[in-house]
Amino acid sequence: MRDLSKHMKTKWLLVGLVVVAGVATASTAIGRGRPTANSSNPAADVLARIASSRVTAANVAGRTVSVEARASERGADSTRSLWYATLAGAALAQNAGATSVARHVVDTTGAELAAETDAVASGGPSAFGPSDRSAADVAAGARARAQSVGARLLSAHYIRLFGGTAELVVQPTDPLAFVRSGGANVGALLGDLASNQRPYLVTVVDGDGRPILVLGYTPAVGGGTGQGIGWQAPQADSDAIWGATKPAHRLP
Amino acid sequence: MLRSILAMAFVVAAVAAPSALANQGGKFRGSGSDAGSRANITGSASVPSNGGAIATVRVQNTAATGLFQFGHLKQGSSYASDCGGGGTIGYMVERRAAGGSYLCNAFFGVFGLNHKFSTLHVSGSGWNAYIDGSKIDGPYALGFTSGQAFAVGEYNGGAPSSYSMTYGPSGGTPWQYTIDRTNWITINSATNFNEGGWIITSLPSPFSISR
Repeated sequence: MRDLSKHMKTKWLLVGLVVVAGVATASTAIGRGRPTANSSNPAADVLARIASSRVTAANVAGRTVSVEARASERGADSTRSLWYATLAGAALAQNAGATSVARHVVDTTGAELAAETDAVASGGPSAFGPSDRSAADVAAGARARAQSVGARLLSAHYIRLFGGTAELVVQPTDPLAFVRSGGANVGALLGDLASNQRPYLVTVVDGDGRPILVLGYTPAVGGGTGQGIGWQAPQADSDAIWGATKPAHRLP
Repeated sequence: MLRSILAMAFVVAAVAAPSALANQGGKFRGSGSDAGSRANITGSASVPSNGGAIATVRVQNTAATGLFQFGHLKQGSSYASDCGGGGTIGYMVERRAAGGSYLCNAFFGVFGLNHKFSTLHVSGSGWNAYIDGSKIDGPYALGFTSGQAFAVGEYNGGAPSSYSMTYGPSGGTPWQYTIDRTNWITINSATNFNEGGWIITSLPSPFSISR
C-alpha cells in the first residue's frame, strides 16, 4: 500500500512537471518573455480572473479587443462596469498583442450606457505575472487602512490580474467629508495597493449604501502611464476629479 | 445694526473663502462654438504629497457638462485622482462625454516643460489631443462637437506651495481657438474665473496663472 502510494505520488509529480514545462514553454513562445494567460482560451481565462458578472464577454478581432459589460444605470454602476471592462480589455490586449481596446456597457435591456475605445499603452506591469498578494492580504490591508481614514471596508472583490488587485467598497463615517478630500483619502486607503502601476477601483458609498464616488485606474491602456476613471454623485464635491470641482463656479 | 454687519461679514467671508481642497482659476472665451483650444504652456509648481496641480487648455460644453482638456499634470505621492494614483507626473488628456464618467489618460513627461498643447474636434471623428502638433490621443466622440475655450490652472487636495504657469510664452503659440477647425485665432479678450487665490494676468498672451 505504501509502495502504491509512493508510485502514485511519483506519477502525479511527473505529470505536474510535464504540465508546468508545457505551460512555461508556451508562455515563452507566445509572450516573448512575458507571462501569458493560462489557457488555450485567453478570453475565458481573463473573465475567470475578473470573476464578476459585470463583464459578460470579451474577444479579439484583428488588433482590437472588444469587451462587453453590463450595468444597471448610467452613473456609478456604469462607471464601475466600465472599469471592469477596461481591466479585462487591457489584460487581453497584452496577451494578444492588440493595439486598441473597445468597451461597451449596456443595461439589462441592451440599451447603451457607455462606449469607449482607447489605444493600448506599451509598458506597464504584466497582466498575467504572479500575484504577490492574496485576496486575504488585500482585504486585511484595505480594512486597516479604511479605519485609518474613517471608513469601513464593506467588500473587497479580488482580481488575479496585474499582480493581484481589487475593487474596494468603503463606507465612511462622514461620506461627503470623505469624498471632499477624496484624493488624499483614497490615496491613503489604497496604500501600496496602487504601487507600481497596479490597477484599482474604489467605490465610496453613503450611509444608505448608495455610491457617491467611484475612482479607478488601469495600466497598459490609454496613456503611457495608464488610464484613470472617476465619477461623483451630483451632491458630492470631490477633489479627486480634475475639472469637476465646484460645479456652480465652473461657468457663469 | 451690529447683527446686520456681522451677518453681512459672514456672507462675504463665506463667498470669498477659497477652498483648501479644490480650486480652479483661469480664462474662458465665452463663445460656446469653439472646436479647439491651444497654447504653449510652461512653468513650475510644487505640490504636497496629498495634492496635485494641472495647467491645461480645455474645451467645455456647459449645457451637456462635457469637457476635453490637455496639459501638464503633477500629483503628490499619496494623492489619487481620476488620472491615477500617487506620483503621476507628466501630461493628462481628460475627457467626459456628456453626463458620463471622467476618463483621464496620463502620459510620461516633464511637468512645466514648454510644449504646445492642442485640443481639436475633427469633424466625423471626434476630439483629439496634440503635443507640439503631433497627435498623442484621440479621437473620442463625446456627444458634443464644440464648446467654450478655456485656459485653466487647478489644484486639488493640499494647496501647492508655489504655482506659476505661463500661457503663450514668447516664441510659442499664444492662447488660441478655432471654430472652423482649420484657422486658429489668437484670443485677445476673455473672462477670468477665480475660485480663490489665483493671480491671473491680462491678455494678450503671454499671460500667467499663478498663486
